[in-house]
Amino acid sequence: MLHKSLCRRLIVLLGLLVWVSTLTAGLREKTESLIYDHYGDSVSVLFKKIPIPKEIKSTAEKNAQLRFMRDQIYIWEISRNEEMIGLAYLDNVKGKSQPITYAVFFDSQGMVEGSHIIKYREPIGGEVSNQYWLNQFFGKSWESDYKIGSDIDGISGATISVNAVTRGIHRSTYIVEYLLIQKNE
Amino acid sequence: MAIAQDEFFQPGSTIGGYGELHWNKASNADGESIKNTMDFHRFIIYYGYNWTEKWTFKSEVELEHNFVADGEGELELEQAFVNYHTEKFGLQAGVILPSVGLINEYHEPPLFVSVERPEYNKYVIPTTWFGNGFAVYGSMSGLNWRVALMEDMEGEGIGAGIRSGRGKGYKTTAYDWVKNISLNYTGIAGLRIGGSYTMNNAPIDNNPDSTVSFGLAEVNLRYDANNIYAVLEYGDISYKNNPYDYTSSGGYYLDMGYKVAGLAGLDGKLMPWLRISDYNRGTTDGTVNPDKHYSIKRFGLTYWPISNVAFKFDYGTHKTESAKDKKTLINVGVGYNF
Repeated sequence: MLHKSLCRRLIVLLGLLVWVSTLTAGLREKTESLIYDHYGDSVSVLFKKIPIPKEIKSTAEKNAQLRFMRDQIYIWEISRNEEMIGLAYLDNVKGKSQPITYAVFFDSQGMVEGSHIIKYREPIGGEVSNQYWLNQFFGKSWESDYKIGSDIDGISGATISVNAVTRGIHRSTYIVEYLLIQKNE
Repeated sequence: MAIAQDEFFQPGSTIGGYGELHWNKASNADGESIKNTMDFHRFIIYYGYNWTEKWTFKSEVELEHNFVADGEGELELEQAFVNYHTEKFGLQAGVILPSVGLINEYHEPPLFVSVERPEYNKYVIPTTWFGNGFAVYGSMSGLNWRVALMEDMEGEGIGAGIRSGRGKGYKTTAYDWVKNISLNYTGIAGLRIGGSYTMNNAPIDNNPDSTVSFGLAEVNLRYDANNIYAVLEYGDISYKNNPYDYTSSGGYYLDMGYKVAGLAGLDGKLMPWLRISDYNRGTTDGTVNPDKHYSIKRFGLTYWPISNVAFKFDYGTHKTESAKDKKTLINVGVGYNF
């Protein structure tokens, strides 16, 4: 009797969790919601899908020790009162077997102000989505060190995801630095 | 212009794996050598295939002790399941692992410090515990839950623990199902804290009318940050109809280490650590069988040149309460995962 009533309660709980999980937003909507949370509701954003600049692509890949999975990335130019105050960058890296989609928010000098996992597609290693881990990238730029274990803490049981996201964020700093220089010229 | 959910996804396969070589030496209370062996204990190939962003297949095939013939060594299909995964919820069906303790699901050698897995993870939690079944899981704000329903254990194998009751997916029964419920929290930097409960009325010789019942309750904690490493696992198994009349068994282990940064001239991490452990494989109404009550003290040194490779050394004693069986053990090993 006790068993049956416990099972019934569990089924109701699981049904509720499935229903909640269907309410997730798309990648762009989720990223833009985080952009407004971070930079403030008063900013204007300009979304662009751009080819990876070939002038910086191989340098970024070599220094971050990670190849791009695709030829294009997503960028949002963030402005307030017609002055650009930052860039948001969306890309993906390969985890154990699935892509991990991540966003990095930069200030106008190419320094990381925030980072988020927009979509994680694996049943294990999802701890890289935790904000306490992602906050370690605050203040980093293309000139920073990204060594796991000394500059960036590892996460036990999420080694592959930690390596992938760390390299992905490192790689993004080169692209953003290049785009900011182009913009200012 | 929207970004399609599956724009980053490409169908394809993934290969991974892990393995570990051990050199085990042991001597008895008189200092006489009772063991001096080398063993490539585990060699595992992971293979996965992604059909879509949500639907995937994952598997692990394991060769134990480097060789299979005449009852020596083991070849096991340790995992093989279809996985449906969304960001907050997922399903698995096939050969799966119950979520019990820290090591059953996360058993790659660089993730634990000793050469051999802690004895707790053999005689209290019988890792690697796998079998046919289904699981539902999910996570929200660092809180992760999972419910698994799996094949029955084999009642005739349960006695001084449940290790020999594992069916390993070989023609097992599904009269009562192993029910495994787990919860853990990973929302604080470096900390994982969790627990699980697993129960089954395990048929004896496939007879559902004659069973050994058990309930395994365990809690676990792991902290690995700021160069501090601490692991604590505690588990208790209660029995009904245990063939040896045991009413419970269980115990704990505690690992404490400190990662020494910047080993002279070498990259990576070096960590001296200590383990204390106490467990019993049989207690009857509160009275522990002294021959089945073990205490362990161990010191070790683990070096990770990179996070995927670990060189390990450990030294310690292993004795029973009855003092009939005291051993000194020295282990050296190397493990990897990719």
